[in-house]
Amino acid sequence: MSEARTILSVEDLEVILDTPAGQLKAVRGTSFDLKAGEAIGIVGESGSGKSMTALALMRLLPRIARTRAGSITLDDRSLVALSDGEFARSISGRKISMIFQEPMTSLNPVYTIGRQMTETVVRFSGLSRSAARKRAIELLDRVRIPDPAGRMHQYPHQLSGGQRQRVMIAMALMSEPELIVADEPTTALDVTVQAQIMELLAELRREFGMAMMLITHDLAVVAATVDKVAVMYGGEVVESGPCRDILTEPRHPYTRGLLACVPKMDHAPTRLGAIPGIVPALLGNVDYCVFSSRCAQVRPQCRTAKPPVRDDGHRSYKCILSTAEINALPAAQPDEAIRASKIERGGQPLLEARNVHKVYQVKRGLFSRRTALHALDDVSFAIHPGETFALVGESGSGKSTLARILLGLETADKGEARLSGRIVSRVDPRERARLMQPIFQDPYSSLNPRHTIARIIARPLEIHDIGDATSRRKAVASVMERVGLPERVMNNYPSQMSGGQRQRVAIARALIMKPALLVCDEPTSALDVSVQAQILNLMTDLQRDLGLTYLLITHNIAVVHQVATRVAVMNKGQIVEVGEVDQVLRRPRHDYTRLLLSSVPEFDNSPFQVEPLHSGSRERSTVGGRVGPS
Amino acid sequence: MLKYILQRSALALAVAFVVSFATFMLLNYSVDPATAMAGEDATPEVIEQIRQAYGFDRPVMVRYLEWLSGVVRGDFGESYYWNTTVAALVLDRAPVTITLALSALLVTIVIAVPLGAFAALRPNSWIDRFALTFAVSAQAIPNFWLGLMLIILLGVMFPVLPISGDSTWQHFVMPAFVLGASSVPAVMRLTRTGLIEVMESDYIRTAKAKGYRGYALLHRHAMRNAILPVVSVLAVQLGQKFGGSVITETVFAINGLGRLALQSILGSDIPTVQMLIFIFALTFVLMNLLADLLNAALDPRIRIS
Repeated sequence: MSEARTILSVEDLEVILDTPAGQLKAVRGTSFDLKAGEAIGIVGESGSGKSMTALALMRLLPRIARTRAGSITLDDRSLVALSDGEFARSISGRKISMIFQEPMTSLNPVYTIGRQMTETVVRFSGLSRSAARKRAIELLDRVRIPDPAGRMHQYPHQLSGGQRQRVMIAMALMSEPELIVADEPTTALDVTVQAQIMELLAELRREFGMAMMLITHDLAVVAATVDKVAVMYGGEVVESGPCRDILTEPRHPYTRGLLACVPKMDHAPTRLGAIPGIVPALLGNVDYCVFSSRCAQVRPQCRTAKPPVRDDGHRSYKCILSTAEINALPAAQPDEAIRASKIERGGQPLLEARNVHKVYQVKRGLFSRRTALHALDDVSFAIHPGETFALVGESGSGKSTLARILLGLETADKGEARLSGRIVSRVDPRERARLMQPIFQDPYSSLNPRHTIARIIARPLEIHDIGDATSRRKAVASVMERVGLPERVMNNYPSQMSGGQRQRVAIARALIMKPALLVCDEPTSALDVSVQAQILNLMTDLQRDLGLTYLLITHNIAVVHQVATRVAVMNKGQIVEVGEVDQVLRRPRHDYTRLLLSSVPEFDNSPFQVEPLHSGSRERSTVGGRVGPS
Repeated sequence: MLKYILQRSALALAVAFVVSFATFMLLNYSVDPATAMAGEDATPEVIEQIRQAYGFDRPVMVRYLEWLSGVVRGDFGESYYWNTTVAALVLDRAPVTITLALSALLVTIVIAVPLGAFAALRPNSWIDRFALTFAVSAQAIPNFWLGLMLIILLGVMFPVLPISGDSTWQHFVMPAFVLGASSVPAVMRLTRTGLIEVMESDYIRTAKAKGYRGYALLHRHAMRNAILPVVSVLAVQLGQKFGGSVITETVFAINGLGRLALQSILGSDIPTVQMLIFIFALTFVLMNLLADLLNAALDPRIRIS
C-alpha cells in the first residue's frame, strides 16, 4: 500500500460520566490516526474506556456521558462542529458504519432483513428500492449467507447468531462507508464462527478499501486482524504502535503484564503472569500514572506525576522507564512449568459417565410439532483422582447438560453417572457434597446478594449441619486465606466485590466442604483476561497443594491447554475425541477437533507466526453444518 | 395459524360454558325465581302457582340443561320484567354500548399512547412528571365521581353538552371520556415503560448508528416493538369497558347493556341477568383472543416459528 491519506484523526478525546460518586473520566486524552484502508485495534479490559471511545466517535454514548474532544476529523472534515442532527444525516451509517457485539439483539426483531438492510440507502442516499434490494442481495451473498434473495424476506429470529452477525456486516457495507467501527464483533459467538467472521471482515476490508477500528479485549483476535494497536487502561492509551511490534515486544508494564496473562498454546503451559489487584475507579483529576496501583515496577514519582510519553515516531508508550530499562526487566511471565506430573489412572475413577443419553422434547415455536433433541448421545468417560479433565465444545454441544447430570441436578434418560463407584443420585447428599462441589460461570448471579461473604462461604456447612459457629468461622477464615481473599472482606456483600473476587468466593464456598472434585462450568469466561490468569493460577495452586481433581467445562481451548491433563471434545451431544491434552491438541484425529483448533486465533509471543494481513488470506477449512446457539 | 384460531375459539367456548353454569347456579341459589317473578306483595299461594307453572320446582340441573339447549338454538328465554324476549332486548341495547365502549377505547388510545411516548422519550422531564402525576390521580378518581363532576362542569355550569340520554353523538362525549379515562393510567404507563425499554435496546442503538434520530427513529424502529404489549392490554381494556359500562351508563342515563344489567339485577330479572353476564364474559374472552391474533400479526416471532 502506498502512502495513504489519513482518513480519521482523533485528538484529545474525553468522555466524562457524571456518577453519584463524582465525575469519572472514562476516556482521557485519547488520540489516534487512521489511514485509508488501515485497521486499528483498541485493546483493553473492562473499564479501560475502549467501548466508550467507539461510542463517543459514533455519538452513541448513554445520557449520563458527555464528550469533549480537541478535534475529530474524518476526511479533513471536522466532526466536532457538527450538530447531532447533521452528524446523523451525513456521517452515521454513511461514512462510518458500526458493528456491535450482540448479534442476537442488534437487529430489529419485527422487521425483515431486507427492510433493515435497504432502508438507510433508500432514505439517505436516494437509491431506488430495486437498486437497494439488488445491492443487499449481492452483499448478503458476499458475506456468504446461503439463499440471499430468500433471506431478504426473513426475520432476524430465523437466523443463527453467526448469520445475524454476517447480516450486520453486510448492512454496514450497504452505504460503502470509509470506516467500520467493530465493537467486539465476535465475542458473543462460538470460536469456529468467530474465526469465519474475523476472516470475512479482513477480506471485505481489503476488497472495499475501508479503514477499520476494532474494539476488543482479545489480544489474539487483534494479532490476526489489525495493522496497529492502541492499548487502553484506565481511560488512557498507555501504549500504541504497529500490532506486530507491540505483541512481540511490549514496552508498557501493563501491556507486558496483559500479554503474560494470556495462556499460550505454543509451548508447555507455564504459570501465568497475573497482574495483581483490580482496575481502580479513577474519579476526579488523575495527575499520576493510571497503572501505578497495580504496576510491579512502580516508583514513588509514578504516584505523584504523569509519566512522560515516550514516542520514537514509530510507536509510543507512557512510562517513566526508558526502552532500555524495560528491556532489561525479567520476563513478565514466570518460566515455571505447571502441568502435573503423570497421573496414575489405576483403580476406582472418581467420577464416571457410562453411556449417558439425554433427549429433550423441544417445540420450535407455537404451531410446530415436538421434535426430539439428542442433547447427549452415548457419552462415556472416567475421571481419576488428581487429574484435570476438560470437556470442551461450542454452545449446544451438550457439555452443560452433561455437567448437570454429573452433579445430580438432572437425571440421564439412559446410562448413569457414578461418583466414587456409586450412582450419583443415590449418594447421600452430605457425602456427595464432600466428594464433589460445583463452581459456576457467572460469579455475579451465583452468589446470594443479600448474604455476607462469610455467610455465603459457610453456607454448605450450615446446610449439612457441620460444626458450630466458632468452628465454621475458623473454617471460613482458613479457606478465604487459601483462595487469596483478605480477611477484611468477610462482612462485605457480593456487590462490593469485583468479578475475580466473587469467583474466589465461589471457589472458597466449594472448598469449605473439602471436596475431592470440583466441577467448574466455564469458571473464567465471564472474567477479564488478567483476572482469568489469577483464577487459573489459583486453580493450579489448589490442585498442587490439596490434590484436587477438576472437571473443567469450557469453550476456551487455550484454558484447556493451560490447566487440563486430559480433554474430551464434544460436538452435537457426542464425545468425538478424548485423550491426553498434548495428544488431542497437537495431533487431533477427528475433523471437528481439527476445525475447532484451526479456529482458535493464533497468538504467539515470539516468533510471530501469523501472516500479515496483506499477503493473502489464510487457508482454513469451512464449516459444513450450522454451528449456532440453539 | 388456523389451528391456533380454532384452539383458542374452543377455549373461548369452554370458558363461556363454565361461566354460564356458574352464573346459573349462583342466581338460582341467591334469588328464588318464583318469588322474583311474583313481585313483593304476592301471597305464598301465588308464588307456588308460578313455581309450578314455570317449572321452577324441577331440579336446577334440569333447568340449566333446558336453558342451555335453548341458547344453542338461539333462544335465551323471556324476560320476567320487560315484556319481550331476552334476545330482542339485548339486540336493542347492544349498539349503544358498543358505540360507547369503542369511543371510550379511542379516548384511551388518543390520550394514553402519545402521553406515554412523550414521557418515555424524555424521562424525568416535566412532561414525564406530568404524565405520572396524571396517571396516579386518574387511577385514584372513581368513574362515577368523574362523571358527576363533568356533568356539573359541562352540563350545568357551562351547559355545552347534554347530560343524559343517547340520541346524538354529543351525548357520548362525556360518557366516552369518563369510561376511557379509567384505562388511561394503565395504558400510558405500559407505553412509557415499553418504549423506554425499547429505546435502550441494542437494535435501537443499531438504528441510531445507521443515522436514525428523533421522530424517524421512533416511527421506523421503536414504536412497533413498544406497542406489542400495549395492544394486548387495550384488548383486555375493551372487554372491561363492557363491564364498566354499568356505572357510566347509569350516571349518564344511557340505555345500553350496562344500564339494562343494573335494571335487571334490581328487578331480579334472572334470564336477562344470566344472558348479560354470559355476554360480558364472552366479550372478555373474545377480546383476549383478538389481542393474541393482533400480536401475532405484529410480531413475526409469534407468527413465523
